[in-house]
Parts: sequence; C-alpha cells; structure tokens
Amino acid sequence: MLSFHSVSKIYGNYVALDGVSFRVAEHEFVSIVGRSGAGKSTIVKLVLREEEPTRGKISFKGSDLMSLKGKNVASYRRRIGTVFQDFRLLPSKNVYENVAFAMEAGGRSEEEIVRDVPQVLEIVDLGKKAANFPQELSGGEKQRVSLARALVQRPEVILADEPTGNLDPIHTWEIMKLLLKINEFGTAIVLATHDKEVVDFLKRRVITLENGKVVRDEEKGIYRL
Amino acid sequence: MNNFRRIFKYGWLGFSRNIWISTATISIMTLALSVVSGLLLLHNITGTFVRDLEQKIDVSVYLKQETEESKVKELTAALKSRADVMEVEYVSRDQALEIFKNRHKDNELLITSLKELDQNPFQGSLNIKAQKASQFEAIVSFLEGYAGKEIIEKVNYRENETVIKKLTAITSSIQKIGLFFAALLSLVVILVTFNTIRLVIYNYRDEISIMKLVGAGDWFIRGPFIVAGSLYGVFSAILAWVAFFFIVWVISQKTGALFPGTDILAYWSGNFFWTIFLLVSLGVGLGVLSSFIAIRRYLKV
Repeated sequence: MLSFHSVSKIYGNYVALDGVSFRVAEHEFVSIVGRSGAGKSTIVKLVLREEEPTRGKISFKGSDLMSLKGKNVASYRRRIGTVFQDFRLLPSKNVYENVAFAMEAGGRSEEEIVRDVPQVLEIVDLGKKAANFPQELSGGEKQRVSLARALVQRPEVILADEPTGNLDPIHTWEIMKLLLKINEFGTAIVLATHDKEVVDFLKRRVITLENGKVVRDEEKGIYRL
Repeated sequence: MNNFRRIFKYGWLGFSRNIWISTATISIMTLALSVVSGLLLLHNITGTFVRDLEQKIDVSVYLKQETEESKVKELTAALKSRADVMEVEYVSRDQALEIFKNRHKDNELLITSLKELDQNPFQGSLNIKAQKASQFEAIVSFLEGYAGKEIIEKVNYRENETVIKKLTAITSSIQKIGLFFAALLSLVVILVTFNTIRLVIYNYRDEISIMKLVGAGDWFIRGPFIVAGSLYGVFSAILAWVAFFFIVWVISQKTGALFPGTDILAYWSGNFFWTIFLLVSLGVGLGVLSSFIAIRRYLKV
C-alpha cells in the first residue's frame, strides 16, 4: 500500500536518499535499519509528507503523495499513525487529553472521543493513568500514550521512528509486544530502528539502508550492517 | 460544527494563556481605537455645531417705522415664494416692544426711559431662515433688488457662513491629522499583533507539530490564531469604548456650557450599538489581518 519508486532526497550537496525503492504491503511488519544518517528519518519525513522528494515518486494506496493538497494531506496523515523516539506528548495535557486531542484535531465527535479514548488506553494498559500528566510517567508509559494516540485514529499503517530509542530493555519489550499485537489486528507497521536485538527478535522483513541507498531487503532478515 | 467550537476553544486558550504578551497588543490596539473614537466624536460635535449654526436666523430685515402692514405682507409672500427661503417670521413693532420689555423687565432704568418716549421706538422686522446657510447671499441680493424696497430700513445678516467655513476648515484639518495618526497607529497595531501571534505560534510549536502529525486540517491549526487575533480586537474595542465613555463624561460636564445643544455623552451612549460595532469591526479587522500575515509567514501547514 505504501511504495517508494526510485526516491532521492538531496539537501544542498548532501544526498540523504539515493534512488530508494521498496513497497510495504497491507498488514506487513517492516523494519528499516541503518546507522545514524543512513536515511531512516528522511524516509519517515517523506512518508509523513513533511518533506518532498527531490526525485522519484511515493504513493500510498495508488495515489501520489505529491498530488495531495490541503485537506487531503490532513486526511492522509490521519491514516498513518506515528510514534517517535521523543514521544511528542503535550506536557500541559494529561494522558486522556493527549489522546483525545488527536481525535479533536481529526474532527471526531465528542461521543466518539468519550467512547474510543478509554478503550485505546485499555489496549496499551494505561486505563488507570488516564488522569496523569506526561512528567508523572515512565518512558515506557509515555511511549504507550503516544502509541494510544496513534491507534485511536485507526490508522492503516503505523510509522514508528526509533520508538524504543529512549527506553530501557524492559520497556522496549513492552512496546515491541504492543506493536506486534497491533500488527496482528491488521495494521501495517514500519519500524525505523537501529536496535539490533529488536530486529533480530522480530524475524520479519528488514530493509537495510546505507548512505541513503537500500543495500538489502530480506523477507526474514536480521540486523546486519 | 465540532471543529468550529474547537477552533474557538483553542483560540481562546491561545489568547488567555498568553495574556501577558496579549496585553501589549490590546494596549496599542486600544490606543488606535481611541483615536478613531476621538475622530468620531469630533465629527459629531462639529456636525451638531454646524447644524445648529445653520438653523439660526440667516437674514434679518428691519422695516421702516411707518411701513404699512399690507406692504409687509407683500414682502413676506414674495420671500416665502422663493425656494431658498425656509421660513419667514414677522415681528411687528408692538411685538418687538413686548419682547424688549420682557427681556429687560428687571431693569428699572430702561423701562422708565422707555416710558419717557411718546411712541414705540422699535422697528418691525422679518427674520428669514434660508434652507442652507450658503443661500443667504442670494436672499440678500433679492432684497436689494426688491421693487418695494423703500420699506426696508436695513438688512442684517449673521455671517454664519464664514464661521461655518472656518469651523469646517479647522475640523477637516484636525480630521486629516487624526486620520494620519489613526493610519500610523494601525500600522503599529498590525506590527505588534503580528509579533504577538508569532510568539503565540512559537509557544504552541509542539501543539502545532502534533496537530500536523495527527492529521489536523489546515484551518483547525490556523483557525485558533485568527480567533486569538480577533479576540484582541474585541477586547480592545470594549476597552476603548469604556475609556471614551469616561473621557466623554468628564468633558461633557464642561462642553455642555460651552456649546449648548451638543450633548456628547448622550451621543456616545445613545449610539452604543453603532459605535461599538464600528470599533469592534475595526479591531477585529486589524487583529485578523495581522494574524493572517503571521500565519502565512510562520505557520506552514
């Protein structure tokens, strides 16, 4: 459903991505690995349509991302859940409000919010912490809030950019288990990471980037640089 | 509908949580709107003053003592038939005497000396009001060329026209200067509001990036800043209106005696809806314009 066709991204003289092509099928779980600066974050930005490719084409379910304008960009983003290393929670809002905020921004009704937010907080096991503020939570809990925020939009794909980068091993496994569970429910996952243990444990497809190029794309890959 | 309500909610939050940076915006906007209020009042005061002057008698015709009533009637009819004459009032000699006696009834000396005279010393007169102050010249020249002009002793006219001309000249230059300051202040208002909104956008950068992330629409992100901008306008307009109410209240204590017939307090409170409407529209217009520029510049969606 998501495909890159010979995509390049050049910032000034720096080539961040160089002719990258791959496809992500529905329900797939894909890890994108590589050293810092290999181009993982650039791919995330391009998928979110925060940046435009210098060359090549990115399409989601058959439509070219670059042809999307205004409203369509917003509704496209609602179909993609995002999780970041730094969680990106609003410190002034509690857990419930952080999740509800995403639904408000998506134009959902109050009834839907009241119905869905507690449900999704149960899925990530934060039902009891709904009234807590981000600073009162552990790193793993914060990441679960951001997962809940992504999930509540019922996305077709979740884009996770180093979601375990700031977490200790125990919390890392919590998040990975959740991502696997979400994937079992039918949501595709694109995981950008440089955590070898995680990738090797998953035994799923691995796309390896090096200097902005895809050097390996293996069906049941392991982390090899 | 949901979105509309939320845009207002977030606009209000942006406004109230940044109240200290908003204060600068509101102050400068209140100042600008006060200048506009001042211009409005000035326009009203001079307007009533000029109207007042225009309604005063323009031409007085004094008649010779021995004039027969029938000749007076002829002249009156001739004047009334003119399009530029609004009103002709005949004051006979007896009436003039009565008016004089009434006016000076407390002055013994005058009344006694009046009694010394064998006959009524007053002249009859015609008080003519023109439709417009500027027409008095035409009426005067008509009188000068009137066939039965031997009954006319003297024609007097108040030089209202000159006063009005002077007054209009003064007020128009005050208004020009006022407009210049209003324009200058509006520019400052736009700059200050623009900067405030820019700061608010900066304070909200996390919210904004998350909004984008979760797929909030353009107007869901931009709308609250427009709302905040218009809130500055609304609050400044209310402040300017109230401030002017007090200023006018203080001034009106004094001007009432100076220019009878110009009750500016009554004007200001009597025209509450239209003055507040004007100030709010101006304030909101300036606020929205500045927010819009700031958004275009600093809020890429």
